[in-house]
Amino acid sequence: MPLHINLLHEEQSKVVERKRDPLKLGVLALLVVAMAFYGFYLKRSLESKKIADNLTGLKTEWATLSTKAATAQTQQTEAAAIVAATASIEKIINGRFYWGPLFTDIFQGTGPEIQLTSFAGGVRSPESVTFELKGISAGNEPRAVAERFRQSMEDKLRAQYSTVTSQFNSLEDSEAPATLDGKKLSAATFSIGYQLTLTKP
Amino acid sequence: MNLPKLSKDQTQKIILSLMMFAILIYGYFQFLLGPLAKKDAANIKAVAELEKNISEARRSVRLGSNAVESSLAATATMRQIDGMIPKEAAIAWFPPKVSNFFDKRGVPKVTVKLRGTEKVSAPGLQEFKNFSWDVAFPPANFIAVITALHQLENEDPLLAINTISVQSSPDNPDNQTISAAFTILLK
Repeated sequence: MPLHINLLHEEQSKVVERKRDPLKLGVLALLVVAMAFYGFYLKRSLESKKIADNLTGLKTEWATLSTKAATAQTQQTEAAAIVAATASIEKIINGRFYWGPLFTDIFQGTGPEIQLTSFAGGVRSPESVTFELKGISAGNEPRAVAERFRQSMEDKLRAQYSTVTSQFNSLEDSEAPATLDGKKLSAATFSIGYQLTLTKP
Repeated sequence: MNLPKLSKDQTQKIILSLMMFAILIYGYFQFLLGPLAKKDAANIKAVAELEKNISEARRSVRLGSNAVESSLAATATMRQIDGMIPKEAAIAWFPPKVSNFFDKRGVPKVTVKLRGTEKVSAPGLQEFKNFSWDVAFPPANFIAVITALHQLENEDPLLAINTISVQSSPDNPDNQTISAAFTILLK
């Protein structure tokens, strides 16, 4: 068997040692890790760019929309004010008291045995109206005639207004007789107060 | 496991490598990934806020256009009401208007005097005022006056008759003494 003598042993050991140099291996590992880190950083940068682009887009959209929103807000406020004003005016207009129908009722409800001499009426609140009728009633029982007139007027008005109350402020026999259809009849002077609530039934 | 015994030089090199790793990791997170994450967090927060604002703005725009649409009828009514109110001072046009109105209906010489003005407290009517007027009729036929008053209250929706007083006189049974108080809603 031939004898093998490795004369380069020392040289080869140095090569191996150089290959296993911790600093060299460390630098290599560092480079690999740095490359991986850089790759991850690039990926994150792209994601970050997407977020930033999205933000830029939204900022542009917001710049347009914010003006529109401010205008819309003003429009909304103005519209609400107009609607409120119109509603208030409509309420005032619709809540007015119309005197025509009341006078029609008074004309229709006043018979020949009643002569009205005075009317005084007023709107006391948006819901309430009062009026006073003064006059002369004629008949065999003029007080009863006046009472029937008060009652019939109250019933007539009740068809138009939700609440109607009435009372005699005065009812007195008159010394002077009244003439009705050529006949002289006893007379009474009266004053009747009415109070109406305007909400219709 | 038998680890090869490291020389002093090798140990130093390993320590140096570890230090370089530490510096790399520190620098990477501190100067690259950290600021990026910080910037992303701020951007994500801003995006969320902007999305919320944009959504609210879109809602506002939608509500605004809805409000304008729904207020069209109210705007038309308000224009109509504005059209009924002359621009001149009420004292200049209202008394002649009322006098002429009654004159045309056979009740001449009606006098109208301003009693006062009052601000309207109803919502949305800050610009409006109630003008109160005393209206005196000469001795006139009650039926003619009441018929004209009825027409007036139907023709002018801004006018309200607050009080009416009718007094008959035994000396002149055909004519009555009549007075009234009007209120008109004006700007």
